[in-house]
Amino acid sequence: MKRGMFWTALALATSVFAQQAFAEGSLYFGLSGEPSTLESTINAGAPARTIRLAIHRGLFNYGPDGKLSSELAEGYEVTPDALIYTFKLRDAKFHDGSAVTSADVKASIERMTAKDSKATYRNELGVIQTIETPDTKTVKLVLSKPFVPLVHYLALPESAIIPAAWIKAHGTDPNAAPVGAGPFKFTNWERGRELTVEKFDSYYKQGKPHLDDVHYVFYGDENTRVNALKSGDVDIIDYVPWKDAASIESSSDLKLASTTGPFMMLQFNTKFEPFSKPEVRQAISYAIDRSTVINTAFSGRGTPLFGIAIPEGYMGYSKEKANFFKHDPAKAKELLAKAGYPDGFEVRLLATSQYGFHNNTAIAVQAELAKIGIKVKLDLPDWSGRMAKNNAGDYDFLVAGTAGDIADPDWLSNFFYGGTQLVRLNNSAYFDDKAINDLLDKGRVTLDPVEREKIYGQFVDRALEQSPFVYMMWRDQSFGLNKKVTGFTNLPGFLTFQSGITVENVELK
Amino acid sequence: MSASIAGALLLICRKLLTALIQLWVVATLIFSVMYIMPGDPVLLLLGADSNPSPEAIASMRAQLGLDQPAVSQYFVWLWNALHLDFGKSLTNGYPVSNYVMQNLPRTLELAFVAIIIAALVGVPLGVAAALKRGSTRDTVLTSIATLGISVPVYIVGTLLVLVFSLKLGWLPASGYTDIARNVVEHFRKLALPAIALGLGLAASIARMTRSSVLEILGRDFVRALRAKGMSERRIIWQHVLRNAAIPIVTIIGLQLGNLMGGTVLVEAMFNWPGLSTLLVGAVSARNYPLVQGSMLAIAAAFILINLLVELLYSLLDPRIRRKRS
Amino acid sequence: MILAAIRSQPAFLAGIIFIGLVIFIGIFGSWLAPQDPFLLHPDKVNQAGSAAHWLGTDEFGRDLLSRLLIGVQPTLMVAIGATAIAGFFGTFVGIAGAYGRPLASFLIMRGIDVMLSFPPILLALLAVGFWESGVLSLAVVIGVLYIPHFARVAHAATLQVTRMEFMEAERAMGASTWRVVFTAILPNILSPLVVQATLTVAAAILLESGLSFLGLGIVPPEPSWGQMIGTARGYLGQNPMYVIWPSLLLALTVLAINVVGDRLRDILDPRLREE
Repeated sequence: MKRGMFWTALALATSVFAQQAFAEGSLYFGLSGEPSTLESTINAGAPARTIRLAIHRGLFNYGPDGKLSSELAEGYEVTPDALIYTFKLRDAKFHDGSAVTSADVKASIERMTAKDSKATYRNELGVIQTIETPDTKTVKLVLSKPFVPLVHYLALPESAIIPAAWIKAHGTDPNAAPVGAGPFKFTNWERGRELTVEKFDSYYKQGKPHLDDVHYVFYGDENTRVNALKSGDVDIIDYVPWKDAASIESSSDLKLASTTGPFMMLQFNTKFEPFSKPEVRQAISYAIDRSTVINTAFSGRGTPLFGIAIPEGYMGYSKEKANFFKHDPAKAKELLAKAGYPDGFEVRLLATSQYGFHNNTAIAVQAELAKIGIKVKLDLPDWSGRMAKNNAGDYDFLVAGTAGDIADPDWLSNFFYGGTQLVRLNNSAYFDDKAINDLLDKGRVTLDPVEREKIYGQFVDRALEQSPFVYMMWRDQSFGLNKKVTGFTNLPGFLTFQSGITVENVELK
Repeated sequence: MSASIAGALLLICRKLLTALIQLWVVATLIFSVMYIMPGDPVLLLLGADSNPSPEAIASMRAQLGLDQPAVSQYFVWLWNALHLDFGKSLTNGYPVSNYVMQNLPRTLELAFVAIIIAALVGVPLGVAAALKRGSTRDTVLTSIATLGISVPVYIVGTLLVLVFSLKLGWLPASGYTDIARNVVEHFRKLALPAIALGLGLAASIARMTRSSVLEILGRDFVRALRAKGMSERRIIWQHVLRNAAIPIVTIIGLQLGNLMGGTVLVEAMFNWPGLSTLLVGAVSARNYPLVQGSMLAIAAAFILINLLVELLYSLLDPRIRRKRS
Repeated sequence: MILAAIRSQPAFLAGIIFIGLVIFIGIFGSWLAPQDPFLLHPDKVNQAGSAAHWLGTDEFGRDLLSRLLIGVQPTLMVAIGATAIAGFFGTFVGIAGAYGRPLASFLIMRGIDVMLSFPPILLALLAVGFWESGVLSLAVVIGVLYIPHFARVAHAATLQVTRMEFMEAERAMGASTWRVVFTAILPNILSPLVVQATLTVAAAILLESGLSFLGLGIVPPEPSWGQMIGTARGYLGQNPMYVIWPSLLLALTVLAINVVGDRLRDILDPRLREE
């Protein structure tokens, strides 16, 4: 009995001591989900990217200002025909102590472009034909055809540079402890609960990172996540539910970091008869009062979107085209009548019951379309079921919430390009417009920015006319922070899900 | 004496054998269900925003062994399961048995503590209500118990969090700390989920206790004992409670078993990384081996608890023991 | 006899009136709703009670009172349907398990164990795959989930009853199995079953809200109490009354069912009746 008490007391004492010793530089980051995998070449969602950006760095990444930042590469040169890119590497070290060399870059990129690779951006990076390494600090990429957005794809978290030796030893083992050149070393992943990383002393940015370690704790339930922030269990949370944003802003201990990058849109199956007509898709754009969606599904935290979802400052944005549509039910009815549906029609809307904002957007859309006579029946499976239906084209139209992947206008290809695979996650099923395909093809190979701007201007005109998507709103995307956390930035524009990179700047007061 | 021990052993062996067969039936059902379920793990595996080509999907499927005929997959799985190898998680290749061994004890702990809280609250309340049947006390207690049944656990949990962690700051709102790392923190984090779970269960245990006690009180033998002049206290403690114990133990055992797969909401809202959390996450990702492994663990825990409850029965009720043997 | 009970027990009367009222609303709810329960008021979301909206509004600015009223029908249909399915099949399976031939009863009770050891979420998912979600599939799924519960309770109670003296008498008199089941067993095991039924009604209403997460709920924008409670949990901070109204109604309904169920059981139970 006495013995037992002694051990308990000892355990208690040591644990309290241990906690205090670490308390200074430990950040607790509440994430909305657990990564399914740490495999660096697969985009497994926002939480996985947040963690990846602590462990890994690429040749480039996006910095706090949303612009490309040189990371492992000091800079690059490109030949006028946009076929050869030459990168100079800086002096940097991997977590295993070895230096970052051109051989590592070659191995990392070849791993993504290999025939049997499962890399998410394999298609885009597939234009890289050969990789030359004239010396240990120089890398030359030779492309099979001009591809202007290349550097942006290399700046994605999934284009991380990892040691060639590691690839050889662990490349096919999804469970191997990751090794990168980022500010934090992987220490432990307790499945289902938390993933821990610790400071990497030889990080190539002098004086960074400031924290000793970061605990990424997984909080799937949004209400629980918010409570964890409010009670001080964690210091930062991602994906703040819109309904709780106000209470975080008004709290004396907490602050909110918001951007308006991601957008909500409707994606159509253009084989479903009414939706095969551009007029009908336009009518839907005119019919939906954007403020209804924003005020109900997003607690007023969003900005109406009446054109194509191109953020201000991105190529292709223009002020007059940004508000091409407006809320005009009369015009919507007129367009419906013109298309041959004066009394509306019945239609299924696919969304998911698993995420409240998808679910509620669908309900708001249903109510708005009822006003022009379109009877919407909701189909609300769980997320996995919705994804399967989405990918099989088993929908009439669906609610999607997403963002472009990169800050280069080529992000549009993923959504608008037709081509050979006409049923995909992100395109409107079976939509294939030759004019749009040609413009997107041209945009990727044109180096001159003025010329490029013109091409994407033409693209926007054609896209609005065809309206394969109806964009509804920019939604606020927020992190909630304890006020003692400084240095964390929510990246602007599309890049909010890559904000994890700024953990290297975080300090605790 | 030795004959009765041998008999007891035989009984236990027979029950164990039954349990194993039961487990096999459950395993087979679980396996077949996964193939009927809608959704596709491969799509989720290939990434959030990618547009996987049909070739990439096919190669992934082949790599995971999902292209094999279902029957051959079943036998491979069953054979491995016999060796306690439940395969590897589809998403990251982490062994399923590691997941299960890590999360099972946490759910067991939460469930046991909750059921103890529930029994400690529910049984005395139920007895107290039954003994003063029709009185104000009975009405009040029964109404509270009814309220307890009809308020969902996530409302109780949310209120507990609001009061004890956000307002008063006494307890953490959620999370889990390994007992080896910090004993105090471990139990501080266990407190709220266990209470939230226990209170709801206490209500139904109280209801069941009340009605069983009432039922026994109405039996002839109680009247006979009263007529013989036995003291009321002795009647209740020695006879009524003993007889009422069987249905009460039944419902407690049943509830404990149900908790194996039924702590879903509580685990989710308190971020308690147990078996239900594992199962729900695996179902969401259509992570077949993980779903199968965690369900089998849930079923096994359930069957084991039932076995114990049944053995307890025969201890409590000598007549059943006699009849069976 | 029931009339006498009503006269002597005001709580029983109140319970009956309340249940009658709920059923009345269940039938005529859509006529009783003071406002359009589906009309969105994006400028008036999550408001507390006012002259325009007596009980306030939900996250879409819809009138809570109207939604509560028309939500009664699907709620009741699911709860009653599920309890009926579970009660009917569960009771007979349980009796058969206790009173049937040894092999049959062995198989039955092990089958029940297999069903019980199957986590509910799985059955729910299966159902999502096969049926459109809605009242009927919900009632069936929840009903099937609760069959083993009824069976276990019926089984335990029947075991007790079959040991009683009068059973020996019945058997000695050569009564048929069906006669024994209906005249001797069923009336004597009714009381735990009635309790189980009241528990099931409440549980069914709550489970329905949990299943909507998997996409098996009542399809929006159609409301149900369970779904309202589940949604309202997220808005406790903004609009506490949102969760209180449906919870209160649910609690009162379950309370009424319990009170009435208890009294009915007393009236029906032959042993208690003699007192």
